[in-house]
Amino acid sequence: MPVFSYLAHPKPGQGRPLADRLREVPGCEVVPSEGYELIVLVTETEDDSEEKLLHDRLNSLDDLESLAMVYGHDGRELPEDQL
Amino acid sequence: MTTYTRREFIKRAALQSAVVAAGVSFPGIVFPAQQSANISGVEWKKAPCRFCGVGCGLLVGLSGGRAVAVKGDPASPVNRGLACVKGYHVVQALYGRDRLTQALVRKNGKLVPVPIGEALELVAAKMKETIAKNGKDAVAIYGSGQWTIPDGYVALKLFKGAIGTNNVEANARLCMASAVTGFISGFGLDEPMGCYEDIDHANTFVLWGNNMAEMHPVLFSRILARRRDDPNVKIIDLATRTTRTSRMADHSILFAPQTDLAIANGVANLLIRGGKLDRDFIAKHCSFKQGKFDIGYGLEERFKFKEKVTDSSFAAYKALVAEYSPASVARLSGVSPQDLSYLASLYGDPNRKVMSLWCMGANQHTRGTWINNLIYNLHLLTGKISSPGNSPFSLTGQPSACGTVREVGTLTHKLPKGVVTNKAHRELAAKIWNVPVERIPAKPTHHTVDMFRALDRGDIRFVWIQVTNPMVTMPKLNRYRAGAKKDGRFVVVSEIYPTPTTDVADVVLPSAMWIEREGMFGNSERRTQHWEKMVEPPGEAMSDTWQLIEVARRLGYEKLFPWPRETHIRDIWNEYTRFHDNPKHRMAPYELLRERPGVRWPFVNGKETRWRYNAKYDPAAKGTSFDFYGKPDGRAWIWLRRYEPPPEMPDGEYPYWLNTGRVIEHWHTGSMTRRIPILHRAVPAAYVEINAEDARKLAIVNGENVRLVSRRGKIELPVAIDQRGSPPPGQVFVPFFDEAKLINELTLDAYCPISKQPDYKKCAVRVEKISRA
Repeated sequence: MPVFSYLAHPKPGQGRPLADRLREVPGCEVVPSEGYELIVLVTETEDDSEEKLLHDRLNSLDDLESLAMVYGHDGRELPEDQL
Repeated sequence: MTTYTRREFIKRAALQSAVVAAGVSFPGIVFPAQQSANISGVEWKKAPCRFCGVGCGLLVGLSGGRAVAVKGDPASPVNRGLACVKGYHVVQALYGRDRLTQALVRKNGKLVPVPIGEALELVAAKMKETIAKNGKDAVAIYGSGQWTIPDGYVALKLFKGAIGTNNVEANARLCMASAVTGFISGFGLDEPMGCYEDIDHANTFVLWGNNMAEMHPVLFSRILARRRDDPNVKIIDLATRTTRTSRMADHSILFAPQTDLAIANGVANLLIRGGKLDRDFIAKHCSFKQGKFDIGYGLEERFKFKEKVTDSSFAAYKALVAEYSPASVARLSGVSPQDLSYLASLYGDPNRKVMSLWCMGANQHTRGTWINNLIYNLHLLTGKISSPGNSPFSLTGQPSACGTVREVGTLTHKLPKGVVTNKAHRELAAKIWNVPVERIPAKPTHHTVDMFRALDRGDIRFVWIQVTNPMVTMPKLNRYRAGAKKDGRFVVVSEIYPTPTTDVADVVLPSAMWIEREGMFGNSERRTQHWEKMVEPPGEAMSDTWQLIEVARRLGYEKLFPWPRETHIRDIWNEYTRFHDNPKHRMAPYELLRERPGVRWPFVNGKETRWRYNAKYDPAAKGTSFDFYGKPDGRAWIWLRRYEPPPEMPDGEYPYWLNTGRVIEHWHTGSMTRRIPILHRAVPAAYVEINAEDARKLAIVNGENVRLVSRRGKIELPVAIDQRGSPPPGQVFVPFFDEAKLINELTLDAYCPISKQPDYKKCAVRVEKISRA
């Protein structure tokens, strides 16, 4: 159950289109700033494979300049011997 | 009351963290949907971060009786709303699956749960029995720079004031003791003369052996922001290996281990030769002193050292540092004459305000007191001290090594005010504690390494360990672990999670952690920060303060520990601050600490003292300029110290230096951070950094397992080549957070004879190739 949050930087002037594209990606909650200079993105997937698909999708977005991770919870239970 | 599923509150935490990070990093950018004061159902309360000595102010989000979110406190002048990766995830450390919730007692070799009352009775009974059979000095307490101030104060009062033994030590002996002796020998009083505001004024930052980007990341962010705003700002990284700090500095200078002593004297020599001294400042405000040379390393079982101070002169000092010519410093340290001249030009430039910053590289050093003195010397020679931006700043590692260990005095020789050897200081303690002055012993007993040697020998038979993990952190670990497990020893451990130290315990007491109890910490810049109890501790977990009070009462000392539970933290603070009731150290009142994001001491006439010893800013300073009132002559002492090698250096059989330290993701021995999934996955296990050329010669590739061997132990680790850190040829580096890879089985228990602080940065190992990972 990975949950991550990011600051998504759009390419110059591409804030609104980027927000629209991100809303189309399953597992994304999109919170743009007032002027669409920056977008807070919260992602939620079921497992690692779904997480990888999500990242492939994000990497394909032409309007996205960069993605900076702020918070992460990968949802894995730690094995007993790693506690 | 709103309730959330676990998934919902994680998503809420993720969202809020990102909004806050955006708000701090990009001022002016607004997220309208998040601008309401609180997310519905989440209440925010302030607390200092649980982790490092920066002392970032946090706001903890609470909902449904749990801590669900964290953000940096924009009201905190320390971090101004920012936090680091550990701080943003700190609340997760409360909720590890194997959190200790019950007391445990070892029966037939196994730890079994018992009611906590029964465990506390056993602890008190064992203390009584040990004292009756072996004397007061057979019991000891070993605490921590992560003790809250009330924790440390109650421990000190119980052992020194009630029982009457000086067997009180704390793990800050292993991290800050050399900083303390540096301050006391130079200025007569502990803790920095400057404050974090120096960052806003300085234009030159010289980092002496401190990977600040990973160890004090939020403060380093402030330095980087300063440079972004002023292109004249320079950051110089002096280090024994290339780190993330080096890569962000304007200039990185690598030096051979221990030769920082020579470098500092070499800079002083150039300042004198170049006529860059502030002669007026030196004449009016400094004295020259010399101590002993060839002072040993503490390796002998009952090693003793007593300093002898003699008056010296500028002429003698000039003659000593003249031996450290650029050429001789280069031969010893590997630092080029050009780099040495560059350093001297920065310190000597009247247009530059210089902040020197250091931490473990200087303190965990067999001449740690000396290197602290030598860095101060550079600031005293140039008059660059105790004024905005001109600041030799000793950074602290732990969140309350200052507030608890140093200010409360939880070390064998200390009292809250002064030292046990001083009759007036003992009389003050006796008066405040309401005990006969004869009960407080006048002679220190054991510093930390000596305490664990005494436990091994059997001179100490009972030890209570709180908030620290010595069975991971003691140097030359094999000896001290074996000593703790010997027959006739009784070990009590107060902890929040199982650790290698609870593995050797006879009694384990479950402790309340951080916001599960009220408390105060004191950070690197003399800022005391308070937090209230925000959530209930799990099971029978109890604060370390209250555990101590419960045992004290069972020992018959109810009258010395009378405080009701509801008000005991306030009551303890009010009693403790009586020790510091003077303009040189006055502390803020309890009510003010509750309101503000911390208050710096001295707190005089309603104001914090930001720069000490400068009459313009410090009401305790007499006259119109500087008054180093900690010393009887009112002057700061410039010390004649020299380079002396460490006790163990690489040789034919063990040809590599071993250096140990931390990574940003993990706090100390990892007992908290390794239970935060994202931090654990970021750096799941220890490794050994090795130079790329050394690896090539050994035919080792990245990730391959090797064996490190020292005269004391061996360990297998995967290799990291040019990852986050790169040692130069002939050195390796291992982080110590991994309890499955106890690197301290290899380290040496040599220490600075003045501070008694061990050197974790220098011993000799060899690297053996094993097999591919």
